[in-house]
Amino acid sequence: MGGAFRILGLLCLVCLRASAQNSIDAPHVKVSLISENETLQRGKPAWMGVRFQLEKGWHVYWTNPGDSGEPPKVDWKLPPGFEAGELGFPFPHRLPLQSLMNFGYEDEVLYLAKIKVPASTTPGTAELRADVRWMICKDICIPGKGSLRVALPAADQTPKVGSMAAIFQASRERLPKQAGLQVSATYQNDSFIVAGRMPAKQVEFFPFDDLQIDNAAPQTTSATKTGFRLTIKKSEQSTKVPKRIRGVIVVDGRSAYQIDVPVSTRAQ
Amino acid sequence: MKPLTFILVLLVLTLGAGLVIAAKVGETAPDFSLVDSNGKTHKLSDYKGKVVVLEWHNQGCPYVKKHYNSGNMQQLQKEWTAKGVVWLSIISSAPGKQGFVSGQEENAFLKQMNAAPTAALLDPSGEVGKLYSAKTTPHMFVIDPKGTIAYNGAIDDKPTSDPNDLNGASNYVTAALTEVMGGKPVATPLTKPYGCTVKYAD
Repeated sequence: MGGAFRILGLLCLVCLRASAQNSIDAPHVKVSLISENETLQRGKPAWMGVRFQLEKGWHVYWTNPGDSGEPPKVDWKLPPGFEAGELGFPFPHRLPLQSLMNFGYEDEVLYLAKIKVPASTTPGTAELRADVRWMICKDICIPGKGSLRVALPAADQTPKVGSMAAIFQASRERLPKQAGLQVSATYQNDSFIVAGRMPAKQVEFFPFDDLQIDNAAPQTTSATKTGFRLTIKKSEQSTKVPKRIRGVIVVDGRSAYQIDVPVSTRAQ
Repeated sequence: MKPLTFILVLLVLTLGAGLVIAAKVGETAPDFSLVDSNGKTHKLSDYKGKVVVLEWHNQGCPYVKKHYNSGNMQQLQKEWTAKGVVWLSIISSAPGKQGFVSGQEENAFLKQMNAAPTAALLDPSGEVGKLYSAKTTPHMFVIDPKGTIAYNGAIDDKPTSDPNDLNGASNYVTAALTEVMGGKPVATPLTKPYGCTVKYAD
């Protein structure tokens, strides 16, 4: 009898582990829910993230996936009073595929969100859950989904920094900054020309809107007296010149800035 | 360079450039000829005077599965072919790539899925796919009775592979076909197609 209970208990532990895991080993990718700190401080925001570790050759997507694919979707299930901020997408890479272009990440990426932890949080263990859906592609695409959970002690003490802190720091540095880069945009000869006041050797633009630029066309950077000039080919399909262009400018593969500027059709 | 040679070179360059212009909304749909899964040849120009739908297809793609496993694509095919629309599914997967099928294999798929396109056309060279700049599966085109491209883009406005997203999705092809059949201009003639990349030859 006791033995049977012990076996049942063990089975139950196994089943608990299966339903309350913080990572999923799916084909060609490991997806984990991770926390920057090992503990939560009541009344202080905390960073949580969904980490994708991909097999060589596979990729996952930015908020605008480019010519195919789709970004992952994270649906947070949090204790009462907790609130997840918007999911942050670190700046992506250009991933060419034949005549098409995707915007995303190879190897690994951490999508992250700032979580509001209310001062009223009951001291003890708080369980944070993220229901994640994703699409990974190489030459073919494989969709995946899973429910990820982490349980963290919530207390009044300053949070205990965890082993993942460096990954969070690196990912935050890749989030596009809301300000800090002065740009203007003009349209001429089927191209957008974005001029920026910042010295740069190589600049890349990733659009938020569809059908404005030719995603796959090479973008060219040239130096100006005050900074850089980036030439981006317009989409062949669209017939209208957009009033604004919105997206992310990546400077020398290091820092990224969000831009939203009117497009002038007068030559400068 | 002699003036005549110069003019000839210019002419060749102009014609050459003309050939690479992709299929664009408001312009004439480029003509093509392809063999279907039963060995019958279909020429686009044979369907002049009719409304034609082109559906880029790859049965292995999760986005195509979303629309076939749910019955969404078949329902559209049945509804519109019953109203006289010509529905051509086109497979541009290269041999050895995902979605490449023989005519027999495609017929088995159509039967299993209870699909009802007018024909499933085999384009293993990818020539017609590239002629239309077909990017994804699915990628949808609607051609009006005059042979002009009236719609180019996604099947609907929920660009995911999740079948649950069919609920509440606004179908662009339904909208474009309704407008074209009613002799009205298409309100949304161009959208970004979503799905897997078309598996062209390397």
